[in-house]
Amino acid sequence: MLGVEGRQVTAEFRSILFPPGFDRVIPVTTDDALHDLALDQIVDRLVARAGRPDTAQVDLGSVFRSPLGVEREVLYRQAVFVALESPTVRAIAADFSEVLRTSGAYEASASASHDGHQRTRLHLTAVQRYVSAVLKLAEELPAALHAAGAGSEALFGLLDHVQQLTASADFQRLQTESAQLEVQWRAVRYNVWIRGSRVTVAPFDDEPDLSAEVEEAFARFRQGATRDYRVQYREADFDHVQGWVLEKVAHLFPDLFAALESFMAESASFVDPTVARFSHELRFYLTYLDYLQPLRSVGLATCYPVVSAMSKVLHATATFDLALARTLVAKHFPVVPNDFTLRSAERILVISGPNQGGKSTAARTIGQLHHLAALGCPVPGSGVRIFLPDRVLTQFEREEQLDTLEGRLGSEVDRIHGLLEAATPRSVIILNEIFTSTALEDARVLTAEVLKRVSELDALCVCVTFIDELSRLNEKTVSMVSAIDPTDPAVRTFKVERRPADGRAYALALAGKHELTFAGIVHRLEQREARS
Amino acid sequence: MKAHLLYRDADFDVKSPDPPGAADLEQDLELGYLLDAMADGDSFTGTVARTAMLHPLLSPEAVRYRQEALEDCARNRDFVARLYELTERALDAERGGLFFLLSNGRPEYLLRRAVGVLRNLLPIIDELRQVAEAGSALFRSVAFLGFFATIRTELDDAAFQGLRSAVRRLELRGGLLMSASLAPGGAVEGQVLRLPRDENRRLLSRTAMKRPSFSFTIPDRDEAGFDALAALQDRSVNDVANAASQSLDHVRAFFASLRAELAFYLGCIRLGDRLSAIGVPLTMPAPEVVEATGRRAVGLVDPCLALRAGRLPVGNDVHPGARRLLVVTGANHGGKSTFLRSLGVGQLMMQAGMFVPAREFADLCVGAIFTHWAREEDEELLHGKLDEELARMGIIIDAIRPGDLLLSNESFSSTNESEGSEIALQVVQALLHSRVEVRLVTHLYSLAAALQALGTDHVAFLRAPRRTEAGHSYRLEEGPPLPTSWGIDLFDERFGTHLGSSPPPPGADG
Repeated sequence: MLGVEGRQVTAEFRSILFPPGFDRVIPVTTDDALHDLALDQIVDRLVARAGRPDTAQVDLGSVFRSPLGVEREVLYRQAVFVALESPTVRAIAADFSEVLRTSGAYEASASASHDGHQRTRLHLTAVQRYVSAVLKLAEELPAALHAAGAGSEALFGLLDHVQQLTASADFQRLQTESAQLEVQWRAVRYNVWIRGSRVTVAPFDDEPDLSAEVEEAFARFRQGATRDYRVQYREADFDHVQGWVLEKVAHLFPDLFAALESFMAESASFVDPTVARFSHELRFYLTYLDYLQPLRSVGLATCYPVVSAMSKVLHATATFDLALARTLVAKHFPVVPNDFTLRSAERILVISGPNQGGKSTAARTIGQLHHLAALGCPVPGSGVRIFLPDRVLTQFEREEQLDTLEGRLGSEVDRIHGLLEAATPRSVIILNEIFTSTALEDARVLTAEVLKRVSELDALCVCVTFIDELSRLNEKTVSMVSAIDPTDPAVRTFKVERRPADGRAYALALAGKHELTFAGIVHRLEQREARS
Repeated sequence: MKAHLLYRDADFDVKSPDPPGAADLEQDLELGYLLDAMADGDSFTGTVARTAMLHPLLSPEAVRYRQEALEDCARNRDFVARLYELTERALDAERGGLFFLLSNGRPEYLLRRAVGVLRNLLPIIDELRQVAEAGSALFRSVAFLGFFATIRTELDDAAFQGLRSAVRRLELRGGLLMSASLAPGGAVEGQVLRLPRDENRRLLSRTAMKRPSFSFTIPDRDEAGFDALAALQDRSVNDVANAASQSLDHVRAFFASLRAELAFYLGCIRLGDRLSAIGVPLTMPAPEVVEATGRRAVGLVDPCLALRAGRLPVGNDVHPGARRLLVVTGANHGGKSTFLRSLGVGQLMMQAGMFVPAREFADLCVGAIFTHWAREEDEELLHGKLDEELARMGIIIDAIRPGDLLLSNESFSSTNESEGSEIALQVVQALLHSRVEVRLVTHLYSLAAALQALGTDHVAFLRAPRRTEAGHSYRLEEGPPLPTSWGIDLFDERFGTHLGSSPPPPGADG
């Protein structure tokens, strides 16, 4: 399914998001559409975690907006996801990324420092973090990938790159020199005498400890446990007085400080750009997996969809709205999954039924499925087969400032026009309650017209509407109905089922609940007679 | 170094958490009056007294240890008062306590405060040494003699000189000498304050360190530099400030526990004065019983009632002997509740090592003491009254153990007599079976009658007299339960009715 035949190392590995040789401009899904599909919150998380996109790095937000239209590209990412599903692989990758980030933070501090001695020391720390991160990755990743049975072209490409890197002479020199300098740094001991405004630095002479003497004298009074009065300090800010002390310490240890100086000169730019890029791109995967985690932990299924750039067949079992599920799970409410199918020539799902029954959620779910599948992500549900669209286009009711009906309708018509202009036969179109501000007859005619155009385009479409006859428009339309609980129609089931629309079923069920059906009323009358 | 005036081998912890049921016990026995008399306006003594009473001593030896110490205190009142005053001075040695609140946890402030207070404490510690010398000749109890001996050994001249020298060094008059290493970011870290070596002292140098040394001086106008230096000093004295503050805590904790233990005895003496003034007889109880006489109380009164009313209440005699169940029946307002309270308070006072307000008192040391009182009003209306009572009993049953004592006052009277009696009977029988001591006041005749069937070897019965029979005397008599409780009498008295003299009309209930 992954389409990756074992280990396939390419010399040109650059990215875990795009396969070697990738060189295309991808159409970007609009922010409005992402918002309608409630996927904007995932983008927000990505951006928040990745930070401000830096010029050298890929903008992960835009990656999330750009569906891949090619099967091989989707499989490239799916394989990375599959590998990262292994807790070991994931921990190794996340750890690497974190350590590399701290290395970068140290190097940034070094650049910002005004103190020559401190600068060399911060640079040393930055190099050490980098070296240790790369070594650890090179050491741990192979076994973890094998143990996970991972077949990710991307990760094996990365591994090969990292192994070449660690074998290089430059890297090995970084490693040994930084380690030696660290040992010497830690061994530094000295005395400081502060008297008034005068500070004297001198060699340490193993003088007796004052605290120990005090503790011993007063220990006899001890009644029980005492509080710890020590202030928990973080490492001290390196202010100019600290700088002066360090300068005096440098006089006591001249060789060490000279060595730090030359080390910095020799290792000015030490980070390999490919591993830096890996660390950055990893966030795309981890953020998304983290988003799924609470859903999976309550037993909601996700799967790696079988994708096709050719077949428009849709099959999804027990799928759900990712964003809504997050909210429901957080509140410990149940999530109601739904099944969706579009066979051979079927293209348009027309969803009707009572309000609050989960119709919009169903529409959003189908839009999400297509977008996420085209990003190479695991999707909600199981056994998903899905078409790779060029884009998901949406038309949801807008909360607009326009007061007049004409204004609202005008703006809606404009947007639908734009949508149909942008749509291609490879698009997925989600229409949610369109033309609600017109008269029923107008809405029926207008919506039918839009659906006819969509049919002619042969695009995939979901149309949520209260006009159930639209579900019988042509051979491309399939009817789905938001279901009710026959025993208690007031309870929302959020279940959307594939069956012919019948506008009266809901009203009858509600009447039954209140025993106001024909039979109910007759029965109650009989009972009352029997009592009196 | 512990005072150990309240327990031979254990510390007295004023803040020890209440045992289960303590709040009910305090409320039901109206202990507040007693504790207030012991405190005499000093809330600290009140807290000490409360903690001591709510944590009864469990063995006759432990009770005698306190009884002897209390007698010692009564003989040497002024001496004990002076010692108490010394502990208060020691705890006041930190004047301007708000200063600490303003310190923002800065180690330099902490250190200066600790050193200042320790310096003030040195003469008080010296005074304590002298008190211990003098006291050894005056006191007789194991508790006090042991305490004085501890002071003399632990604070001998050498130890005291050690304290002095440590305080002097903490003053850091010669500046701060420290050893240090370098943090990964280049800053000074791992500071340890040091005492300079004599061999490093040189003429014309104030800094006794090895050579070479390199110095700099913060320029006069470099404010940021002085702030930075202050921050460095703060970090450097962190450990020493901790050592000094903990040392101070140790000294304060010592004086605080001494003060608490003395406060208890002084509170007892104050209470004794108050009760004697009212005319209440006081006796040192026997914390164990002799086979022949068994448990007995003669002229037992409720001290709380005495303190509240300011006069001597009627005392009661009771001789349960070996019987673990005492049942009190009889008229409402017949003094039953008061008597039950006097039993509970007497037991608590005995097991606190105190005197008991009686002419004679001997009983076994029980474990924990629990009370189950019918509550006048149901605080939580959501619960039914019986539900609430059962819930409270459930909590007691969760905590009670063999050897404990339950005082039950009109339990399960919130339901009808037949149900209430059945529940109560099952509870009481289960408790007796589990070797729990039970003192029970009830007007549930069915319950009392059923308990009678246990036989006089196991149950002692007391009866409150009908008011018309005994006037206002609340003295209880030994005697089996009678089938009415004369609540009607009270009603008639209050309402001027005559319901008690004629049979109730048919269908009338309660």
